[in-house]
Amino acid sequence: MFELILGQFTSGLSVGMVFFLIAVGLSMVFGTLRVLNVAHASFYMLGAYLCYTITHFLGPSSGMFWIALILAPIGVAIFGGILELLVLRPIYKRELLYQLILTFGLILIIGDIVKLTWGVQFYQVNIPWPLLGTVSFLGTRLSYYHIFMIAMGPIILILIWGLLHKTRLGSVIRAVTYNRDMSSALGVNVSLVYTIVFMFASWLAGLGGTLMAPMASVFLGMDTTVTIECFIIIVIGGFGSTGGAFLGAIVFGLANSLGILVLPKQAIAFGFIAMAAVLIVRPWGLLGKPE
Amino acid sequence: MIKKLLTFGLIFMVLFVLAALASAQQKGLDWNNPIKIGYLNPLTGPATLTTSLDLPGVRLAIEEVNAAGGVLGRPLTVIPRDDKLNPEHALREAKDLVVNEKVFWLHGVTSSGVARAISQYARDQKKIFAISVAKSEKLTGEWGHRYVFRSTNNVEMENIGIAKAAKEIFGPLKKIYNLSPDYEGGHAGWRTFFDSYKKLVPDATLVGEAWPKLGTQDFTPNLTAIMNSNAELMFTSFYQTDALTMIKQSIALGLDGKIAMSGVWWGMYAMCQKFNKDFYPKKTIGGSTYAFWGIDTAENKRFVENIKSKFGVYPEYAVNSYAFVKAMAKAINKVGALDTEKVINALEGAIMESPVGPVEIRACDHQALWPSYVGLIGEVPGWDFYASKKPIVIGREAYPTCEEIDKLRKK
Amino acid sequence: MNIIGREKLVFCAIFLAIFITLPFFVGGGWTSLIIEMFIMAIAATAANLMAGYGGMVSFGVAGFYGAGAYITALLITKAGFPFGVALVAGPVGASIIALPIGWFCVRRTAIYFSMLSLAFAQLMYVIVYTWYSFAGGDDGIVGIPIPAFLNSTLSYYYFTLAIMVICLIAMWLIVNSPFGKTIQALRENQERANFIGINIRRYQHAIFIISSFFLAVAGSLYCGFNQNVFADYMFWTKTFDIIIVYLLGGIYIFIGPTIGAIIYILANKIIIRYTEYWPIILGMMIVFITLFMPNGVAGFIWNRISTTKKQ
Repeated sequence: MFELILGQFTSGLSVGMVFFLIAVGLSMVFGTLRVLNVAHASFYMLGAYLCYTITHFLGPSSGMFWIALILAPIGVAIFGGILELLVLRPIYKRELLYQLILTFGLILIIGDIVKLTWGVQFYQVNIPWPLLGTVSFLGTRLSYYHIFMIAMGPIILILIWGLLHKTRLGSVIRAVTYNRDMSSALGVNVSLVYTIVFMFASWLAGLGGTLMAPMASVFLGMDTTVTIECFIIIVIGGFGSTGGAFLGAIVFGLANSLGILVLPKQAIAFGFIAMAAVLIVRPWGLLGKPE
Repeated sequence: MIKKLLTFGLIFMVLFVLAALASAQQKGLDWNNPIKIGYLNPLTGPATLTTSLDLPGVRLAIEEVNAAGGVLGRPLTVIPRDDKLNPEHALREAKDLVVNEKVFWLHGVTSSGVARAISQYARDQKKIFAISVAKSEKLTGEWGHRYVFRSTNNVEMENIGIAKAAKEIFGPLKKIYNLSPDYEGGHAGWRTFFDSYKKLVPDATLVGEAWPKLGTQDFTPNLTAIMNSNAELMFTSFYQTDALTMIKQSIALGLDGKIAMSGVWWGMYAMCQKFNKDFYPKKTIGGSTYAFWGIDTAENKRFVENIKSKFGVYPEYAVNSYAFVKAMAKAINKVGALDTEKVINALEGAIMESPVGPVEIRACDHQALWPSYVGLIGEVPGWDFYASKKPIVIGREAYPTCEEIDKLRKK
Repeated sequence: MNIIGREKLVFCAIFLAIFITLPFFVGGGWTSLIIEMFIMAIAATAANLMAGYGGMVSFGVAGFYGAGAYITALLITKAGFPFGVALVAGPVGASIIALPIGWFCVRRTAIYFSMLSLAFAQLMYVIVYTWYSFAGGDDGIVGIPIPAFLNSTLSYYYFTLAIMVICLIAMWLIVNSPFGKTIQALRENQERANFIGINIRRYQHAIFIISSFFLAVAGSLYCGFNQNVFADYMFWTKTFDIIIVYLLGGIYIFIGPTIGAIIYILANKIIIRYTEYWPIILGMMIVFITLFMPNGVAGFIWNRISTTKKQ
């Protein structure tokens, strides 16, 4: 019994970390650009597909995964940047409704671009050397790749925190997030900051997709498997809060994986119940700031 | 403003034309008075792969039928529409196909929920609906009626087959673990398997079970639980991407090969194409609707070659649709008119010629009595993927009898 | 009759005449499609009561649409109610559900309102999707009987047309009533409204319930149309369909969502004939409309008419 709970626990954590990577980008974009990009999960999917292509570029060899880990998110970031320049800039000043619908249109467009490029097949990426194998831990077995994924979460969290609080760029981003007009008046190139933040968020989502690829499969429609979940996470954690996204992702991942032990049939409801509860009681989320 | 509109409009048009050209093969053939088949299946989203392994069968049959003089002197054509795995969209397309395009019959559908909705519609409209993928036995069982046919096998007989094959290949293993997806089909499938297995191995017991949702990304907790239990045989009906994730994780955890596994559809080509020397589930049996690598007849080899060379894929459900379309053409020609009622009469009891041999379309439930194939996954000489070796053929005895169907429908 | 200008009245009369005679000119397949347009028009206009008039973007509209459909379906199949009663009970039941849900939702604004309404709708979806024995679960309910006189496409067409006309008139009267004007004022300036002493929440709650009522009418009609219900009717993708429709048509004009419904369903039908890559085309249409036609097609046309009139 204990092993089962421990197993569900680590599973919930590692899946949660991938969700964190996707959700935090979505949260940052909302916090700084004030745009809810519902197509954010499409970047996740794109990252996974790019990971597949790069990994198999010189033939199926698992060493290439590490190259993919570097290149795929960059590719997604570039794609995100182009999208931001062409399509998103005009709608920053618009109401929420227009942003939503436009980004929903992007889900459809990116989805078909993926289908046109990679076809209808689903793809596999192998777990890379040297993360093959498992280790025994408290009576249960954990795979090294799981541990790697769980570790990536805090690493990226520290990376983001460091970027935002210890670099000049970070303080500029925070300034723009806090008060866009004031920052602009003080000479900050707000448009450039927006593009950078958006590209960074896309990079994070692409990284999530790349990390997820060896764990599961790469297939059309994998973006819709995480979209709503990300909304739940940033609502619970708090819009615009990086720490909130981390906390929310962990809570969500664990609630899901431990919830099925308790109430298997209704487990999918937990996320929405938590979401509704947070919105009713404390709408700015666990770590967000009231507006 | 106008300039912006115009430029965007131009780009829009260009892309539209490009997209249309790119999919030019989907447009109906431009003949004067063809007989149309309305084909409904996902053309977008995760299940699109299944369609690409089925539709070529329809197309090949059409080619051959037309080459042999067509149907009633007219060419046969197919109009494929995206059902988006969703009953609302499927019905909208079905209505357009039946009322506007005036198709003679509806063919296809992967989701049993969608199939049920279309089946209902076909019954109201008195049009033939041939299910080409959807698995629920209820579709030709308690929900069955005069206008619905199934051109492929169903999950009930597949599960009975897996139980039989498990005993034959692994011996009478007693401790079973069930890891199936949490939806009605998953539950029904498990019940069928376990009931049949218990008839063969009376002291078989369930030592544990879990019901993750379809689309679960992480099975490791369940797999670890299995490792810690004393299970000897694991049963699962997870399929395609979910199943591949499960296999991957099972290999990563070291569970692979330690206990016997049976995956209802792990022998399907859609999955086996991913198996090779470095990646395949050991000590595992998988079921398939069409284990073409294990059928050694000249006709079968020719069929597989034809599909591969013309459409670039190996056939899966294609063989079922192929045989059925040809049988339809034959029935219509025999009747001499596009008379649905008479054609149904002609189809009942008809023996379809197929690359796997003769297959009967049973009169009482319109279920084409296709066999299913179960074997141990491993190297198959002559092919560059791993699949079920020397598969056991599960024949028509695995289907419910007409009396049982009757009883179900009377309820 | 000063609630609607003479011009608009003529316009409506022409439209009505066209729709009444249309089935005689087009085939049965088109008739069926136009029924779908009517139902979508009701749903989108209802959703727009909140969005365009109230400034509240609900992501949970599919929940009430589906609730109407399911209540109607369950009353007919499980309790043997006649169709007419079930059809009325659908919207009534949905409004009852909207009472507590709306109460919670209107206490939040902007994105929080949107997310909360989404959460409630998805919860309704989960209930229906997992409750196999009662609600059919992921198999849905199929073969729902409707009265014989409605059993042909043509008769259901006129039935739906009649109900649509009634609903649109009702909604028109509501938005042009003092109540409706207050709602629009709230959209513009909540602070000022508060200052005048208006209980904002009460008004927003009311429009939420009214909107849900009419959404459920659409859902119940759809249940009768297809004679089935599936959990998908409540899923968030349906909400986005409805939102796209009213945005496409134009949220600041009453007839906007109706126009949007016509365009959306028509475009869907036409595109799908030519290519399997309809998502990218639809996506580009959406991007185009959002960037260049923020007032929707109806708004765009209205602007053109207005500017030419001013000359």
